[in-house]
Amino acid sequence: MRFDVVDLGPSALKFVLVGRLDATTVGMVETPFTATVAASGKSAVLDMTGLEFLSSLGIRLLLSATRVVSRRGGKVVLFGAQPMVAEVLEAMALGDLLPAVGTEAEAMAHLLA
Amino acid sequence: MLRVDVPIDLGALADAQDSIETYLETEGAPTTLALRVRLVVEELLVNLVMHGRFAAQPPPAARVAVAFEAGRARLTIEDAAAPFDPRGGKAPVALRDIEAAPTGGLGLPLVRRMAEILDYGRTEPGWNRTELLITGVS
Repeated sequence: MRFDVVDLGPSALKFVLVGRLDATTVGMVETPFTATVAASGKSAVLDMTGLEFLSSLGIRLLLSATRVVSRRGGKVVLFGAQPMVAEVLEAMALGDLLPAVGTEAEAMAHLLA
Repeated sequence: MLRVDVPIDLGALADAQDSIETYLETEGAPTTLALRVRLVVEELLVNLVMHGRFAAQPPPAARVAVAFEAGRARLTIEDAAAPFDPRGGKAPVALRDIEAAPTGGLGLPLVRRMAEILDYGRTEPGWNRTELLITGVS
């Protein structure tokens, strides 16, 4: 599990999540991910196209990051979720807190809405 | 059928999940089903690691069995933790306030959405037995 960060300008960072975000791997990224989100003070666009698997501990990390962003007035939006990941998000009824769209362009439009 | 003993330790989880996923793929199960089983196994075993109360230390390994039959996976988990019936609890409800979002307790609701819990009971003295059915389509 790894993530890369891409600066999308003054208001947002893109986090490219790659691998499996689960009980075994969440510890690898939890601290740097949350710290990067918190330090930026920006909204976050999560590129999920490379994320193959998401479990409840991964969801907890995403919710924690969303809470940090929200407290600073920002938004979090996901795009490109693979079927398994999309199913998990839907099953947990998280669409309002972690809105998921198809493409990066849609994600950026969501941030500006 | 695949049977695997899984130590009550997060460090042992990935190998068990990989074995189960490989077994299902070898048996011809669709990826959707294999990943659902992987998820359900993770949530139940993580729950044991984080919340299970065991009389013996170190706790005995959980016994996990998976069978792929008629396009579905039948999963059985036996563990020596204190009695715990996973069938209880509420279904997830849509949350609109991030400050009210739970910081834990997400695993079992996810299991109940991804699997049908066929049975729960006590078998040997001190052991739970949970039987689940998982399909590859919603």
